[in-house]
Amino acid sequence: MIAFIGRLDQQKGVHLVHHALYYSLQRKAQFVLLGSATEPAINDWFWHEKNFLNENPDCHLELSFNEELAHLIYAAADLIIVPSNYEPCGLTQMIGLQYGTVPVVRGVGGLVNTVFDWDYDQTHELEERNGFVFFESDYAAIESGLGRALDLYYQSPQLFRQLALQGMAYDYSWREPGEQYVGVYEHIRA
Amino acid sequence: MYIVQIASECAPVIKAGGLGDVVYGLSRELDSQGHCVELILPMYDNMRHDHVWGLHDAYKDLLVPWYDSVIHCSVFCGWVHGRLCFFVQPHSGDNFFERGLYYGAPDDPMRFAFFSKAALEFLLRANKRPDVIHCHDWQTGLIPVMLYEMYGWHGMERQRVCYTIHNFKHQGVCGPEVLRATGLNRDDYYYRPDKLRDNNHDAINLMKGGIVYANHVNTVSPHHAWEARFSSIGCGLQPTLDAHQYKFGGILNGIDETIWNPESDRYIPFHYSTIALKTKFSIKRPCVSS
Repeated sequence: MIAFIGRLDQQKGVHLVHHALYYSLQRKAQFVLLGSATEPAINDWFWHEKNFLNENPDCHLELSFNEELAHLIYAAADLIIVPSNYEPCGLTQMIGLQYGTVPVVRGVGGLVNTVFDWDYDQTHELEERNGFVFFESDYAAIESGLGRALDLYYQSPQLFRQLALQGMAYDYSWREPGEQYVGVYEHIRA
Repeated sequence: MYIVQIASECAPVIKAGGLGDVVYGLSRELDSQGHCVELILPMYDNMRHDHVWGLHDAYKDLLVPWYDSVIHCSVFCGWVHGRLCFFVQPHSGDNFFERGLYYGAPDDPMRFAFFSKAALEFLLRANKRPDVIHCHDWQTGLIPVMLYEMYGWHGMERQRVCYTIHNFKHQGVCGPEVLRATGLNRDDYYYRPDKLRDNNHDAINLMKGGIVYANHVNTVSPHHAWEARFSSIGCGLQPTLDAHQYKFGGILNGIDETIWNPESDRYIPFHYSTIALKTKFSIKRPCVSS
């Protein structure tokens, strides 16, 4: 089960979200989307899709914001996609990691600092890697990231489970950032 | 340490985007590490009053200089899930915060320039002298400018500013009338490329003011800091960030563990942890079928 949670707009890579939906179905995965659009054109577009896919048991589009459902999806999903155009920090990938939901993200902004690719990361040992990263913002790129994640899920479930556990081991609470801010304050105070 | 955060949002009482979560989350963490933290926020008419406890008068007649006159403000004080917050309410025909919205009014730069001025005036009059003032995004970009150029001479010479940028897309680009309104005046002095003049337009840039004058500037992840300095992600501020690179960095945001924790989440049917990940797979069924 693959999830997307967030605003549907240019910044969040809405075209890649749409592409991931059909790619997931084609790869025999389930897809859940929770989020709302701010632009009327995007809103119409996703309502249109929702009407066509309503009867499909393997996919659900929830075009609203629902905090309670968000918790349930984070807990239930196997993969969460974050294909943003730009992302100053990003929260969904960190929440996903906390819940053992493996993130598949575009390598921009804070996503680079929090998600380390299972196959290719150069800076982290295999035991410290926690997700999948792609870099370009085209369909081939997200298919490569999501495809590698699905391959691992189908072909090596034991390793996939290991990857989810490695993600849960990360501590992305406020503790460390809080200490860093205190360091800054100490540095600048009179 | 004594830290005052000045911001246009704080979750859950005022939440438009991620900024509100950061202001709340960081304040709580600093508090739990033993620091004293207070927040100053605008008193929006549409904020979630049901998340404020014990609201009371903190400063009744705050007179904030504005153009050639003053605007009479009331400052209220209350607790937002344990955080001590001061809410500034101006009484003037401008109705700065009585619009039924947080952002999106044509005079947004004026509204938040006024809020910035009022926040500093409140600190000065109430004899609050924090070690660090932490302000956020373009809305409070004028805080370090006014602190260094004005309030430092009124008795606030030891206060230092940490300025955090959450989004480079909105920078508070506006006309020079904010200089006259806030009493900074001296158009020629501020309207220079090394001060507040926008790098691409013939205008004042409030976020640039924050970057130039703050003692430390950061964005919300190390890689985004790099992107802002070296790519179009900086939305025109690249040369300014480059000139101030020695005080510029990136610090990741955190997530709120009391809300997002699979071991205690109150919205999920079964709890799980790294030792009992199997339970995670029993959650899928109700989620897919519902």
